[in-house]
Amino acid sequence: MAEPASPQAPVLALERLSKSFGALTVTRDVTLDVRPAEVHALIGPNGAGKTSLIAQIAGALAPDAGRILFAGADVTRLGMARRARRGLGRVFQISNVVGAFTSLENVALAAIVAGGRTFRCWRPALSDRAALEQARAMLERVGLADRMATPAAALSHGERRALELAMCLVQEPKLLLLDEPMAGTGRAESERLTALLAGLKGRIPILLVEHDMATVFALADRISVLISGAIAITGTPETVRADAVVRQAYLGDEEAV
Amino acid sequence: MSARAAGGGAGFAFLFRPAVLIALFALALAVAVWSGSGYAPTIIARTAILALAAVSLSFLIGQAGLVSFGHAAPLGIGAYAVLIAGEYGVTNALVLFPLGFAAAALWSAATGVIALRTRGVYFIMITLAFAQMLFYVAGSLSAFGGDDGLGIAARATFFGQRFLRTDTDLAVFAIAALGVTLLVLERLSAAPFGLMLRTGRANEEKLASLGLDPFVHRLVALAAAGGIAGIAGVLLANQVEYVSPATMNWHVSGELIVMVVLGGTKRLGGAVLGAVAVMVIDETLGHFTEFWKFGLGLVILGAVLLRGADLTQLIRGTAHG
Repeated sequence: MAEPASPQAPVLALERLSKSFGALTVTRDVTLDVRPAEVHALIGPNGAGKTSLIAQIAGALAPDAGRILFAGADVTRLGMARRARRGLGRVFQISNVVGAFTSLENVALAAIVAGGRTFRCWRPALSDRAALEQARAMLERVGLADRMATPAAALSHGERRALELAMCLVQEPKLLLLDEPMAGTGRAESERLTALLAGLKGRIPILLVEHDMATVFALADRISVLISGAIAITGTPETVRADAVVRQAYLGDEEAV
Repeated sequence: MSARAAGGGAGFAFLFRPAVLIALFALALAVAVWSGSGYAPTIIARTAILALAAVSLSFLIGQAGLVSFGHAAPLGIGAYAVLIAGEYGVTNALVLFPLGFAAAALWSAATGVIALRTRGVYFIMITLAFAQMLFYVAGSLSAFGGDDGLGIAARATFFGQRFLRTDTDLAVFAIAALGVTLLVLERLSAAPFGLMLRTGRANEEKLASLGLDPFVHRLVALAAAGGIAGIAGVLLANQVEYVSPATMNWHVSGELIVMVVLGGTKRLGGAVLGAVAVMVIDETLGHFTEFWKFGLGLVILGAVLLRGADLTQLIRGTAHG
């Protein structure tokens, strides 16, 4: 199943993916790829099928037809956990952290899972120095150095996104799947997060699903526009901005872009 | 809940510490022996045995979020291991305890493979169903007394030595088993293994997105808890010297859940306190009225209201109480 990945081969490739719920087609013949070191943004109006597409890439939803290739292998039939183990890092649309754990504990947890040490039965998890070191370093990198001992539930929206990102990054993913990272954050926070993502650009390929156009145009190398479950256009930000169909369907009411 | 296994708490928190609990048990036993009471050591042995089973269930509920309503099944398997082995002339404790542990763990793992496909209320129902199946199977074992059960051949021996001659001996042994179990399960809870169970309980989707499907962890937890209940069953059979299907009946499972809920699942010691409370109420109110369970009901109601425990959370398997 594993085809050797050449340096220029896409990290993630969706081939003619389709998904319907009864008469409702949420994903229509979608072909899309994310190249190494690329930030590929996926935009589209509400109800365009972005969330369903993300769910299929992450392994939460099985497509009716088509293939998903990740890191050179067909992962279409793999579950969420096994895709994650192959290096698919995911930041959820609604922040998904363990609220009762502190920031440090959340990231240490991710590091322990990544290290495959989940069956250790005797030494306390929080005496795992390697995991704690990794977690501290990562929290500093995402700007949460002073929030390490804070329970995740007490963090702000933006801080929780940064925490989730840290949990992903500590696992050294081959691809980041970001589902509306700016949703629910204030302007200052969203600028900080954008800067954080800009720092990752070029080092980790990112598939970014986002509503915030400022972020999309600031970060994306390529943009795909999803309308009614189908890809309307894929191209550079300039091409997409100039496209008449896109302007009418989506950007029309966001001239400020 | 916290990534650390044991949550803090003010006031009586020290009561939940394994060392304190074991010391109190030992003290109670010493007083009982010193006062020359023939009955008190029996009660203490019984309490320690039921506490052992309750602690294993508390581990399942509190750490893994697996509310098993069939925990009487591994308990009964441990008891039947003593009865059946005894009928074949085997009374050596070095055989009986591993046998009781292994048989109960095997049952819990085998039924767990199927039960773990469900969650929440469905998990409660399917574990109940499995336990009831076993209850009826035990009732049909005519060679071993059928519905009525059968007295065991003899208490366990150690290469012919009758080391469990009195209930005081048995109480010492049960208290020691309880102490070791508390220690081991607390280590297990604080270790990465327990952390994965708690994370799976709190947020399964997140755990999957980090690359871990906790199925095997849960299965191991079920087997371990079942095995410990099996040990409790071996002790119980030796204490009562009689084994019947009633040990596996659903209200035994229910009583174990009551003990766990009364003491809270935040710390394993809570189940011990819950077991003590149920036994005390049984032994006091039970002497005055056959409606003592009404009194127990009031106590449960009070405990739940005072702690603000959310029963729907318990059912969903995400209780924090």
